[in-house]
Amino acid sequence: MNCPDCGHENIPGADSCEKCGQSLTGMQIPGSEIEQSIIAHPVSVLATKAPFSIDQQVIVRDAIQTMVDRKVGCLLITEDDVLSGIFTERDVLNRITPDPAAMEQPVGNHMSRTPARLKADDSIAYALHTMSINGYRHLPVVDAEDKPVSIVSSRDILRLLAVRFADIRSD
Amino acid sequence: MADSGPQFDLRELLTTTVVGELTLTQVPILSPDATAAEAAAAMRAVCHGSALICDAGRIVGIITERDLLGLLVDDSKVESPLSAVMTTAPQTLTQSALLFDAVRLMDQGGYRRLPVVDADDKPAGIVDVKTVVNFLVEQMAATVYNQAENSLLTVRQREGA
Repeated sequence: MNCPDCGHENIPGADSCEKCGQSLTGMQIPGSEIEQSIIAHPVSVLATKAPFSIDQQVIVRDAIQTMVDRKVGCLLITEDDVLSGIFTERDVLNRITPDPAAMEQPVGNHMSRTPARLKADDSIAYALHTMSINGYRHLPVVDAEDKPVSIVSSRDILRLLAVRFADIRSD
Repeated sequence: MADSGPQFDLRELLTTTVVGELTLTQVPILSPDATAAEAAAAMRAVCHGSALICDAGRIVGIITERDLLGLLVDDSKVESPLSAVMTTAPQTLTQSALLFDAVRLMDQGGYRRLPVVDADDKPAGIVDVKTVVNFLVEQMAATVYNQAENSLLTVRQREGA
């Protein structure tokens, strides 16, 4: 196993790290197979959807038209290709439906700013944590430069768990 | 991999839990004559993205925030009566339906929400993806709530003298 401190690859079953001496015992990962799996697997294993990104200067009407055409409930909003916000159907409900004039304004005025975001190597368990704590349905995944690379939805995670661990598509 | 701890069998959980055990989301109930704009206002008031349309106490349709998108870009449609723009006769579940069936319907039908009816066929609320995910998270609380983002778990610089 790899030493958690220095990363040295030790022979399986070693009690302490051959390189730095760190104890390797007492490190059992708790939980069932499903819990171990969501800790071990990064969100990149389920982030199959390419994100729909638009610049924050695009007007709301065109943004909503894009959501309708693409059949998505969420757009990632960028400034100079860097993630600056998220615009979801919930934002449309809360901010656009009561104010018809908003339809002709830039989407940047009505998006949710600096949304929570994931990196591709964050675990599925961490994505669940972030969604559950904050009540988010979508989380953008960004690269090292904060450019959107994909989007993860709670439905993607439910589907993965249900198909992988509850065999939902058989019988 | 280390020895497994207590086993958590998702299939067993889903097949032994009935929909009525979850905390169903209460959503606005409107008549077919109400407008889409009125439905939007009612949805905003409860911070939820759907409303049920009922006639004589029975569910005849559903409208969701997704439907509103299409109505907004097609001017004037937000003032349409719900009977003209709702999804009619939506798939429903009874409170005694298994959570397994709810999740399977969500997967197969691409539904995010399913209306639930009681024994008298009256609306009892909505079960949605978020409710199911939160229920599963509660079952795995120790694992899910002890997570940090990966960058915090990785030492970037060598430590020490």
